[in-house]
Amino acid sequence: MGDYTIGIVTLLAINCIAAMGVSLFTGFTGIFTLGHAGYMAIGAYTSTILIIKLGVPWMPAIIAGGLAAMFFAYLIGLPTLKLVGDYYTIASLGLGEAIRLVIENWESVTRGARGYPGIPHYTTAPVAVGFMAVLAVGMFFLINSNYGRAFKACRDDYVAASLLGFNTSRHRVFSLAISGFYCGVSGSLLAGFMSFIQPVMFDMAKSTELVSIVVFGGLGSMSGCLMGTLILTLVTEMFRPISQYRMLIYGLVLVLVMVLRPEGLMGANELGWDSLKRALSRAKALTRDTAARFGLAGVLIGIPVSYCFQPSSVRAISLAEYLSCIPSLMSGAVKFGAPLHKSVAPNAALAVVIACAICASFAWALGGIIKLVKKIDDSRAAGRGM
Amino acid sequence: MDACLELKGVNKSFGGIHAVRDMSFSVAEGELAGLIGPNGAGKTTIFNLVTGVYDVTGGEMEYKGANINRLKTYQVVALGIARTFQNLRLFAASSVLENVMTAAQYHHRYSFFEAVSHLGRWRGTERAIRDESMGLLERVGLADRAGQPAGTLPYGLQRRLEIARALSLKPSLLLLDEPAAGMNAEEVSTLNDLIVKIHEDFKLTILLIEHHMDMVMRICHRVVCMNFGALIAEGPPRDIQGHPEVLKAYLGEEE
Repeated sequence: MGDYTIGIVTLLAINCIAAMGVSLFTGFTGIFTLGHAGYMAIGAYTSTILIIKLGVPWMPAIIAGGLAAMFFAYLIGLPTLKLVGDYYTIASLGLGEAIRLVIENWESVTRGARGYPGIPHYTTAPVAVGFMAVLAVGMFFLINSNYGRAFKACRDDYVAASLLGFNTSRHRVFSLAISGFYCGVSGSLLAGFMSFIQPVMFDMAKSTELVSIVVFGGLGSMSGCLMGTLILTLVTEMFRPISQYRMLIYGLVLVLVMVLRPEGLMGANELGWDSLKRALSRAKALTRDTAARFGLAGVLIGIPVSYCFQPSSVRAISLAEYLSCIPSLMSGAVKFGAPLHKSVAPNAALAVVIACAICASFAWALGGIIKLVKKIDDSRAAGRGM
Repeated sequence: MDACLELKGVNKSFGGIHAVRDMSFSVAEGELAGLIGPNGAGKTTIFNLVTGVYDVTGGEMEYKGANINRLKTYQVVALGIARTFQNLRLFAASSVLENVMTAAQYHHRYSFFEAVSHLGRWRGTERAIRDESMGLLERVGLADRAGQPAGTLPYGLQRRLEIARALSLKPSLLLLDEPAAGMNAEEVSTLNDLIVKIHEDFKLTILLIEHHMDMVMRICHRVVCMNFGALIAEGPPRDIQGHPEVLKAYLGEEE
């Protein structure tokens, strides 16, 4: 694995931790949040200051970052989660920005908008993946326990939940505190990964990114949120060569999932045998659908089409080499931080993906029209028969 | 017999609307009492007051001699009061079993660290919760539907599930809000048997809101009738059946 891949895996693990925190609070406890980047900022700055100013070793500093964010989340949750409704969501809107602005202006402690350089690079890939694995197991265990059932009960019907003996406001605050801990740890790891933090990294865009990952993966599905992180992070990385325009594709992917599958990738299901079986049977049903068949054919046609009309910057010799470009992007043929727009692989991969997508959508539409015509024909024939 | 639940001059108003006015009645320990009245009489409001969903405007409510006026809903549960809902409040997307387990865990606790590690008491406690819930589902005849999402059950079975869920809290006073609503005659009669049976087996005190008069008259020991938020008659079913005030409330004034 090349440095680039290792970098991606580390970033993926860090994002997963934050996304799990948001998933617990938004997906399982049912309260929208638009300020969780603020808790990441608290975690990041707490651990950075502990390490640089007080010389604390990085491991306890990461935990301390998580605990600081957790404590802060608890304080915020006490007044805003007492009532049922969107109070927390509204508060979180301002909260995330408020945390960022405090950090930006409290120069004596946080060095303000210039950011904090020189953080030791303690977040190696094994550290990040290790943290993610431990926290993921803990989270899966938690939602499969009486706490998980309590959170879900508060989400689905708080009146019924309180009449089953749950102190719903306490459960909401508790959920927020745990979610704050996850985001805090994620922020601390991010600080150690980037070696440099500045308030802008934890702005509104980061908060909305976290929520969109959770909605994309499916509210109420922890494995969905991990898959959402994986897909959305990879999509943005894969299209790095087209720099700013990749956010268009990021948006397109989000819109597509919300239109085709409003409940998110996984809905409220967890990845397991049952959901796999269900997906398989649905895929089988799809192969009998004319429009879907045309779409699949379009994907296959897209590969040679993109090869024939490949951009001039791609100088692939054979089709096989051309196709091998996609994995090479992931396997480290392209170095992290290298001037990517000059390299062959990402451009070829991009060309293949775009051509496949265009061909598939045209073919899908064509199949849909054919299906419609057939249906009209059938209904006419049926009309004559009568 | 001691009073299990006692209301003394309870009032509740929403703005200018008096939903309950000066309501006084009591339910004796071990009794199966009925609460009847025309639509909008304030029966469900009484349940909401007792369980702390609403705060009372005036008067006293006592449960086994202790005042419960100011208790929150989850504190009411701790005293041993459970209820079902007129317009079902099941967790529709969760399985039938999970619905009951969510309530049954009330009496089975383990710590947060046992929950995130699945060590210690987790395994044994989860098994106990599951077994207990399955037992209750068998009681109400839903054991073979345990894995199904609760929202996909037929209406009558959803009502039974609500009863099972309330029972898993191990209450001593059970408030049933129209358990037979939307059921046909056959379903009502099996529900009758179920209610009488759980009343005996779990040594419960039951207060029942119902519109099926034949059901109320057959199984209730005593009936409380209210109209426009106020008590109009109280007594054994036979007396209530012919009570002029009750007939007036249901059928209107005779010319």
